[in-house]
Amino acid sequence: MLEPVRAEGSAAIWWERETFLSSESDDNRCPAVIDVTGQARYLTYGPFIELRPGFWRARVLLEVCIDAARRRLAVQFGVEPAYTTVELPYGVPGRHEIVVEHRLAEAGPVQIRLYLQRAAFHGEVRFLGAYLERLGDPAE
Amino acid sequence: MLVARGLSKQYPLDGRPRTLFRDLSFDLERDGRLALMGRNGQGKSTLIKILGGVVAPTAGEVKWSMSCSWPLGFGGGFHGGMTGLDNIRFLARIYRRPAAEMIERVDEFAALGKALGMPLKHYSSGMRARLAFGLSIAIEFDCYLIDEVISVGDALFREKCEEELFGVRAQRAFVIASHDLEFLRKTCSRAIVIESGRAKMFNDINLAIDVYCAISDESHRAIGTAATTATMAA
Repeated sequence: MLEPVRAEGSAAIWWERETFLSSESDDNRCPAVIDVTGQARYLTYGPFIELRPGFWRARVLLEVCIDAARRRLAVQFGVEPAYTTVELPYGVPGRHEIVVEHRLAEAGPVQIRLYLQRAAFHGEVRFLGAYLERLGDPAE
Repeated sequence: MLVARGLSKQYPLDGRPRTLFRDLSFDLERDGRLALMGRNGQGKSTLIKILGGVVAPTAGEVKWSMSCSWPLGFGGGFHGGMTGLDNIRFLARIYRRPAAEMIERVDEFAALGKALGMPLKHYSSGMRARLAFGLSIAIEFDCYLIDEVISVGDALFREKCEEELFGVRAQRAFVIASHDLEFLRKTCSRAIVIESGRAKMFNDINLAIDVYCAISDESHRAIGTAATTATMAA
């Protein structure tokens, strides 16, 4: 398992997997391995931590097996009801760093969601966590 | 009740083992309705044959505590050199049913008329299906194994089959392999989806249909990509 390491002197915030929520486990925490089998749904979501307004970049780290790579997965970043969505590259297994940039007009409980866009027969995803970086003020 | 435990099926293909499914376990109650879904060649018919005792699994076991039909749609139970009437008499003896009553019931349902006196090798697939259905209804089973045969024949015959099976015998158990998703949605409550060497049970038929549709779309997409690549390479 690859564990992300914060770069020396980086201003990024690290939200680890355990910070996120999921309906895939009994304790509602994001499990180490998510089985994508089932209907279209959010595989993990949250953590509803408030960020100050500004232009933010999320770098979401996850791993997908070959079966999950053939599913339509997307990462969404934002505050209800406004999200920015980036799809995972189709058919590419392994580790991905998905970069999603989003402008928060006002402070609010932020979510990063991993969205399975269609029902899936088989596949596994390891959601590792996300780096967040504030790039500038809302007006910039 | 039907209890299947740890079912696996492999067969050699081009000198290498091909797995249809492995470690499949499920139960079926006396009034359960189970759909089998999957693309062509994934193993639906093989699973039906395993349940019906026609094909042996590579591993695992099937235990029946209710009577089950032969896999409807599978012609292996008939003797092609014998007439329809003789096949009915033969099965009547095996299942210990009065032959005359069986012939009457089969003829009434299958409406094959004089064709019952012809050897089965001269029957069309539709006629064989009518005979198989007529026999299974005349014998009366607790569980019916159905392999796409519902779609054989004309609309009237199909209606008749559906009424006899799912109307008159509503409290019986059914295992149905089919590509007719609306038919499965209407008649089944659960489904096993078989794909690429895996079989999974879905306790919600609507979810199973969603999953199967996604598989089909992915498959078409992959075929389209391969065709485009081949065209570009040419």
